Amino acid sequence: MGGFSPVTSKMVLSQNENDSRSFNSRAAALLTVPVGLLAIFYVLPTLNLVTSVTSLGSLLEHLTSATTWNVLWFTTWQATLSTILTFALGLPVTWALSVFRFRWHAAAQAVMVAPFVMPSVVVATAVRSVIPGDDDTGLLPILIAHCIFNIAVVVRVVGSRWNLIPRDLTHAAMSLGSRPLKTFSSVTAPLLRGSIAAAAALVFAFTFMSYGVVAILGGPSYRTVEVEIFTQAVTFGDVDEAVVLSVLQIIIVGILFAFAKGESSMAGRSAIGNGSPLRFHPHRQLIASFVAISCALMCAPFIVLVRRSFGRQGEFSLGGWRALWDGSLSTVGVEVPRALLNTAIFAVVCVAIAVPCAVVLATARDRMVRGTRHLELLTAGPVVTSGVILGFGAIITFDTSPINWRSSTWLIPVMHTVVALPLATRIITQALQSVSQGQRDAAATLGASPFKTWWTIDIGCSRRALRASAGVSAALSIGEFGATMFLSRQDTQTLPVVLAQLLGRPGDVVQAAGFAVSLIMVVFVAVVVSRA
Amino acid sequence: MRRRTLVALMTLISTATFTACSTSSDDSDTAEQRSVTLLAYDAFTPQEGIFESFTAETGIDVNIVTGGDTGTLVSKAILTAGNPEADVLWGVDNTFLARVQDADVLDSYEAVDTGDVCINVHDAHFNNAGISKPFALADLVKPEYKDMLVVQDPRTSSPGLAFLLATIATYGNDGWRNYWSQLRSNGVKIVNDWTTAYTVEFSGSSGNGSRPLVVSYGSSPPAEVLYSDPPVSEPPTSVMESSCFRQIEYVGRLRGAPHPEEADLLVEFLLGKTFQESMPLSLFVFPVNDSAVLPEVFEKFAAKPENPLTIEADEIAANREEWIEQWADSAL
Repeated sequence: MGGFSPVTSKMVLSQNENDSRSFNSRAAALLTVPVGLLAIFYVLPTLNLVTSVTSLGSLLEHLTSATTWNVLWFTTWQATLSTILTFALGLPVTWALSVFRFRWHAAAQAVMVAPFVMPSVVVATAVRSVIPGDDDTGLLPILIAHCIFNIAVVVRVVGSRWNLIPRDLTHAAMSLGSRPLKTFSSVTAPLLRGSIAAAAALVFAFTFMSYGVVAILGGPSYRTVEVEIFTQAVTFGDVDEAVVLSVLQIIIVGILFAFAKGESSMAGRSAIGNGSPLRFHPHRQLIASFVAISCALMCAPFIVLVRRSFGRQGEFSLGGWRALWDGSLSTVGVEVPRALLNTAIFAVVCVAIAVPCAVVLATARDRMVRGTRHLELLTAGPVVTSGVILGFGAIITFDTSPINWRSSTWLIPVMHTVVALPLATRIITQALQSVSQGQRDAAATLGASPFKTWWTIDIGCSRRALRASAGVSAALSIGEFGATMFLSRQDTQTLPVVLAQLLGRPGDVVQAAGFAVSLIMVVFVAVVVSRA
Repeated sequence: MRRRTLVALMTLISTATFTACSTSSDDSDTAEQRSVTLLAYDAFTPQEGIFESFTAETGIDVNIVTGGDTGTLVSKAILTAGNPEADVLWGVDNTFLARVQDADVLDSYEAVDTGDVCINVHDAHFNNAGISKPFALADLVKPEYKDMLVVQDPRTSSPGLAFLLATIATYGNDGWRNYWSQLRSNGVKIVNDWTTAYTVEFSGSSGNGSRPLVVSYGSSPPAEVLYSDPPVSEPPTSVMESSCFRQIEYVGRLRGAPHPEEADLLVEFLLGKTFQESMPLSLFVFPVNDSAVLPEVFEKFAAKPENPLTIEADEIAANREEWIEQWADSAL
């Protein structure tokens, strides 16, 4: 093969440029779908709710109240403490998992990451059942649960970076006489900086907005903003107070995200090679046992959950499990098989909408379609917005024809999509960013149309990310509680709504059934995510 | 193989969705078939088939829509005031009534059932320890009952609020804060919600807690009998009647109801003897209709205080926030 003459190659390239411009404009046209979705189902209801319920006066009134400040203060410092603790425990595990390979490596990694996709109510219930006696509520259980929940963020975000650090770099430093600690601080840490900042911001934000964990483990003295929002909306029917607190939360976490974005983008995307994991190390046994112990600690609460689903301590009974299927729970307004089916349907619908939308958003972002940088603000919105607000907004907005949708079943998975879209998009964006431009150029030079290039190279290389984004969307849909609670009815209940009802009622069987439902959710999410 | 499973799953789901759609289209009003929609809290679980006689008599179908706890229901009702999804609202109680009135949610309303929030006692604990059971709120601050009581935070729990109101009704505006300081010195445990108090901290129910006294409902003992595993004939718990605070639930026609006439007929039915007699075993509340007869397990085990404590809805609404702030100062 003689190759192209300079002239023809130039012609091919300019032809490609035209093609790719038209591809980009078509991508921009497709953008109207996810943007429209967010505009109609997130921006419109939220703005409508906030403007019709709150005023500047009531916002100021709440800002000057001591209760608001107490709640804000606790929320902030527990989130700070949780973040520090999560890193203190998470970094060593991350190190072991990224630098070494051992038997059961994949399993250990899965155990560390799994709790993150579990519904927070389930994790909290599990932690609570494992802590003995009077200490089962308070600051320590909150911190433990937050750690279990968020170690996954450190393992994933920092670990994926750590994997990429070439061993040559650290070896070079060592052979030049640098001690391990010095090597870490002068070689490894600077390379990890961006990912640590990004992970820290995420952990802080998640623990700042923590609901399930604090609601179940907080006791009377510990309440976060999100718990207070739920209390006002659900227990006291005080819409005004709930909305004002949510607005405050959106502002605070929004600022934090903006800050974290600047910080992590400083790290850039310099590809730094691929570290080959070590199989031999003088303290290999020690490291493996350390990972094993960490895994056991992560699993302990879930094992207790299994025990509790078989009745009271000391006795063994299948009553809780039997009650799930024999219809006896209908006396407390719960139909578990139906809730299971609903949850599955909603998750499938959510994935079916969220993943294509995320692909469009991520592609537009990657191709730098004009205006997409601002889109990121829009897509981040649902992450910082309380589920209560999404639910309230939908009820108050979609109440007149032709958009009288508030009692439609499909509204529930659509709201789940709104919640899942930011994370789903983020996963695919990251994958697209790591696709090498060289491959795209090669495909284009060989005559592939921009669409074909995009399909075979961009999407072809991102298959794992697509599956991950589907898994995360499904997991979020399965666990979504805030919006679902306000939009669902008896025949559209989901597992989290059913769980909240069961754990809120007396009777051995009902309680055991609640733990059984938690377990079903754990298995459900685990299956979905592991398949993805 | 995997693809085939996926196809099977999709088929299943589309069938299910289709069935769901086709059943819901049956609900739509036709010229002959009248219907009425009742909005209630999740725990509204009427006896099965109870509305059949209503439909047979009036030709009106009853759709029941439930959504969330009472607070959730009130939030939703306030947000949709004047343009409701349903015709009749079930289950606003006296601690919420004023809020609902302020937002002009209901055209009309009437009391439909009553229930009590009372201290529940784990009998065996006192028998085994050879201590007599407490009989009055004043007993709870005595040293022999130290570290025995668990209550809910009135800021986060409605029975918690009811118990706070019980102490205010008993000790009056001057004395209740002092009573709570004494409770605190005597080791009262305050938890977030009813579930934690009753199923985790309390020694008399499903948990293996250590506290034999808990704030719960007057109908909790019969619930212990009806939902026990293995079955029992007597509840492990009893009720301290002097601590009972009366909760009254209301039913009313929503302002802007699409079917106002049908709504009025339904309210009439809900207040009638047939429905009222079905409430104790299905909803764990007492009828307001004097002609209704109570079931045996309720006759035997539920609390029926003669003079329950109570506070007017207006007074609760006017003072709730202030009381709760003062409570936090005295009790925490």
